Amino acid sequence: MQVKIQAVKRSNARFCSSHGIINRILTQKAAVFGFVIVALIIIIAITASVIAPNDPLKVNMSMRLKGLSSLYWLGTDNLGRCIASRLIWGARMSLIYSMCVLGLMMAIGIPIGLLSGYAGGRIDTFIMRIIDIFLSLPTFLMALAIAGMLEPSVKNMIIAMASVWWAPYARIIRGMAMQTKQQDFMLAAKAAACTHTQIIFRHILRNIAPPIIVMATLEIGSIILAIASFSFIGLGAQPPTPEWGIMLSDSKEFMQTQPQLMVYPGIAIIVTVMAFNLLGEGLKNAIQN
Amino acid sequence: MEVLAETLNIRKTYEKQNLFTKKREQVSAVNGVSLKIRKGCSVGLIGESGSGKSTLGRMMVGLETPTEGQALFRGQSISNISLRKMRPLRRNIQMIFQNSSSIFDTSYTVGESIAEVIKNSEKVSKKECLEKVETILEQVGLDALYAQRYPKELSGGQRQRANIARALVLHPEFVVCDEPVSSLDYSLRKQILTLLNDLRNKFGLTYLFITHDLNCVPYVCDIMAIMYAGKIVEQIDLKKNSMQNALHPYTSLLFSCIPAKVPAERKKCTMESIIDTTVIPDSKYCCRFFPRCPCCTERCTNEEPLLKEVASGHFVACHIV
Amino acid sequence: MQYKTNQGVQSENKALEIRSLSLDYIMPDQSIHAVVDLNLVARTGKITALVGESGSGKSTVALAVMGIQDKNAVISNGEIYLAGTDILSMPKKGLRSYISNHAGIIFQDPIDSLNPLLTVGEQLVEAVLIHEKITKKQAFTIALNQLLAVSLPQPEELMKKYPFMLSGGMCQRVMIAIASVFRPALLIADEPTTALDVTVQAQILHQLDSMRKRNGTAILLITHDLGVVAEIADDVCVMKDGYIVESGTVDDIFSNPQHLYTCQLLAAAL
Repeated sequence: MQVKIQAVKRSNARFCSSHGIINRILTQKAAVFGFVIVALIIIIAITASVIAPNDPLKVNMSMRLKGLSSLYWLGTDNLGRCIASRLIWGARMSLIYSMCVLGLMMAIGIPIGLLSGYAGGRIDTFIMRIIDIFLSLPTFLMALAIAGMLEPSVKNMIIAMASVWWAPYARIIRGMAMQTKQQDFMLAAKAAACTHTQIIFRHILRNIAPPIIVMATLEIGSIILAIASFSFIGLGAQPPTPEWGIMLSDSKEFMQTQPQLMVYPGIAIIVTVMAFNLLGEGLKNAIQN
Repeated sequence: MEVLAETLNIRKTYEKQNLFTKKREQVSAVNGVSLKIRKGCSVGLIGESGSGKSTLGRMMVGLETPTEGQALFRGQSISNISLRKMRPLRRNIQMIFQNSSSIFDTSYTVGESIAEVIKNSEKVSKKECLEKVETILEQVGLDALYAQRYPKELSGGQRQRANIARALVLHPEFVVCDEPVSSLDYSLRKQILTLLNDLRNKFGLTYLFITHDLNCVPYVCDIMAIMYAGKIVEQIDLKKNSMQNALHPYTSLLFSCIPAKVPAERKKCTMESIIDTTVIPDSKYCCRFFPRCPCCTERCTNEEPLLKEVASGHFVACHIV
Repeated sequence: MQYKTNQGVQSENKALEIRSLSLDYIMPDQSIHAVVDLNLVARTGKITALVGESGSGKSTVALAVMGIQDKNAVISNGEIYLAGTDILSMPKKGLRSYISNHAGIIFQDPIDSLNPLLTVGEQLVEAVLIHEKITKKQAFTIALNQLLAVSLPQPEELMKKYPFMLSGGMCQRVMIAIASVFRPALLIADEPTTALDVTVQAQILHQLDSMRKRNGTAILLITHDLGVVAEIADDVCVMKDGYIVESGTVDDIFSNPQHLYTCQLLAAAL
């Protein structure tokens, strides 16, 4: 058996270890499928201005509710706007809004969770009680209520969501920080004269970063759905913004006569959410193994 | 010789809540140990699991706070001070940990972990830091190229050498070695012990060598201390006395249980009956070894024996002796 | 690698005989030869020590004998005669019960080897009932006697305890009790005392030795500690990188080692 490392070679080991994760993802077909779709959606979102066939905001009442054609790839909606263009721009909107919500959630949740988990004692108890309060509120309704109280806009919707949904993440991150704190290398870090800040950022955060990324990826799907729901009821993005939720809302009245107006944005939401979920599951499996 | 590290009647108790009865009980790991370690005189601390030796070692390095008493380094207390005040002392007090596989943060290379120790204590340029890392790796018998490897790519023996490198890179004065060879293969133990001894002579280190294996002691230790149930029961200066002159019944038991070196020297362990070793009397007013002691008297159940000098450099805590 | 053997091993009753065993680990990108052309005999009533460093393949041999090796481990050649029958050519149907009737195994970490959610009594009774179709009450009595046989005090109380309530030494004794409940011909002990203190180690070794004398069990003791070998072994096989490099009686190996690796191992003793 010659598995022992005989020769010492200069190896770029860091590349190898993330390469290992990528290899593990590549073996899962579902994750690869999810990754491809996500990559496609991101490309569509970035190049929206280039690939969209028409102006998504341009109203043309003479062309309303037309079917498929070479100019209007998926037809037009009730105001004569190109559905395909609105879907493409909608991808950009959904991704931007969901990233904002995610970013804000993590910006609040990660520091609070880390502080609570590392400090322990009274600080931990105090923060946990605050988190418990947030967790005991029905999150979706809370977010709706906040958004409803403030003026309906995208910015307020993002603030409303993030201000309620940081709590579950802070709690999970606190748990992970506490677990990492128990590990043997924490003793070694203290023996190496690391300060508290160094321990938290160099060691704890770096070790819990992979599961945080997995959580974030899995969460994007739910956030996109929530944004669409908020927009559907008028509390998020406002018309005429090309956003999938608004497209659903606009086509409510035409559900029976022109069902495709609801089907297109609906499929877009389903495919995007599913793709992110598949990718997130794949990442989770790859990191766990 | 000056006293480098010492403990003053140090105690550590943990509170345990019984899962079923919800009663809180005190479990004492270390029960009043006063140990003096002089510069240049390495002490071997021998005991079985549960004797409190690792806890004592961690308290002497300042990684654990005692419930009572203090640990001192060069006369200064290191027991209840803040992380910030402890930092400058860290370059002189280090620890070699037992479990080499979990002691490295796996997200960093070996070189980065060692460099962290250097950068926390000294202001050095990147180049100087790299040189120091490579020097110490070579001194512990690892090729300098191992600095770029991740801990999981190293074998057990190599990881332990990297562990030693990390502890000794700043040439500390006092090093606590917590069972450094216990998790290694039999064939590697002698190599690592020889390495530790060589480095001790080279850098002028003083060790507190914690182990459960009496065979390791002659390699690195000048003084042998036997620990049982949180107390030191015997202490022998090996320069003046032989290990074979041990008097405490527990030490005799340990010696009798060491496996033979060759088949011709086979002996049977005298402990025929099984005494539940998890039961240790908790009272301060008796010898803690009495349930297992073959020569126990009435006095042993009523009065705690203190360490007394029976010969030059030889202390025993036993009423019989 | 040169295979040397000492002709001191006589062919008495063989509880275990392995002939030319080769085992490979099949991985996606390579295949590793874990065991190569291994020949080993464990005599009835004797303790055979299989010595080697970690990675030499000794635990793999133990798992192969018990039929519990990894999915990726493929036996490419050889025969394993357990109590006279080649288990590698037995049909799958009766194989599991044959092996469990004739061999038992104990592992390195005793507390991890026991189910933490069942009491000691439940686990012992389960082991008894697997072998014999008897009532639970009868199984309970057998279990109690088994605990006495491994010198555990107050067995009735012990039957109600969970593994985490016991010390490492006591758990290892419970493991011995479970593995030897119906006096198997062979008991494999895979580094049984590595995780234990020296006083407890002495007790466990003494326990294995007295079991061997009482029941005539052959013990295959896998270890990397030559002290343990010197203390209780009768025969020794030295293993390196999947090969047996030397084998013989314990006196021969210690007084007259032939292979360089054996000499290196002996020289590395503290």
